[in-house]
Amino acid sequence: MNTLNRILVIIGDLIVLAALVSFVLLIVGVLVPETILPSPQLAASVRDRIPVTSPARVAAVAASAAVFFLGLVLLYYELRPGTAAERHVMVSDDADGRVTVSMEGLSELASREARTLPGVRAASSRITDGGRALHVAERVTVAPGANVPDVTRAVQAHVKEVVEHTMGRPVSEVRVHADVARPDQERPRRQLR
Amino acid sequence: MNAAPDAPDEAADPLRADIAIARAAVSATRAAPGVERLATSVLGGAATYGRGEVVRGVTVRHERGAVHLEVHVTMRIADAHDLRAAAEPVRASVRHAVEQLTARPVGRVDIAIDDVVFESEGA
Repeated sequence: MNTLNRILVIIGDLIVLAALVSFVLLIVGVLVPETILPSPQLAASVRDRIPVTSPARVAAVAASAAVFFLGLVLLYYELRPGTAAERHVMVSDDADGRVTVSMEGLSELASREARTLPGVRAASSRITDGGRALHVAERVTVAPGANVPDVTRAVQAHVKEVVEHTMGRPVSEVRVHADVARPDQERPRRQLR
Repeated sequence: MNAAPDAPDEAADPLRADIAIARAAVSATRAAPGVERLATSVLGGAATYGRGEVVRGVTVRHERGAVHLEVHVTMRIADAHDLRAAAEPVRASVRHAVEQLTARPVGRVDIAIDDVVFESEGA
């Protein structure tokens, strides 16, 4: 959605939300039409349309609440802190355009590569863009009996190599949190490199 | 690059022209090697809007007389593939298709890889 459309959607949504709140306040009697509307004719017209029976009021409030909730959802999607661009990592940017990859896609690639290493039972990754270089946080579960320092060193080296090759950008650090899997399913011990 | 004879009149109907450009970009993207699918999320996804119609996965914008595009895709890649190299055929395909359609210069063609699937995992 382009910027103008996004602004229009946000403004329209805020107007709808404000109108719904006013409508509900009118229905329950907190507001009276004459106090919020400039024209007496318009206020009278609105007063005539306010539901007077209890079931009609309940239905009107329920419908307003449903629309209000949908409005909040829409507003959330427009205003959420991480825009689509911020959830992507830059691969390249030149006169022809930029290539970006989603954090999720790149993290899955790093996790997948870590899982291919001997001694790694499970892995999950989180990658952040530090501007000049990428940072990788890797959480791995190491098989019982495996040498944890050796495994984590291998994870660091392999993930760094793969991400740098895939992205064409340097990786400044690969932090590895290692959990040691136990056959008896007890909570794993943790080591941090 | 001259516009195709059946290209919409951009000056008379810019919205329709944008939709035509977006559709050409979608077709070109789908035909490009390595593209698994376009990212066509309904909520918050990239899209080009016309009168009563929408083309998802592609954004068309105009700056300084040029047409710029943003294409969102899921790429199918080999293990440890170079993503920049994977995106190049997509960009070239989109650029070529749009150049056939519009008289305006085609500027930046941004490729956003929203997701990746791996060849070794099958379809």
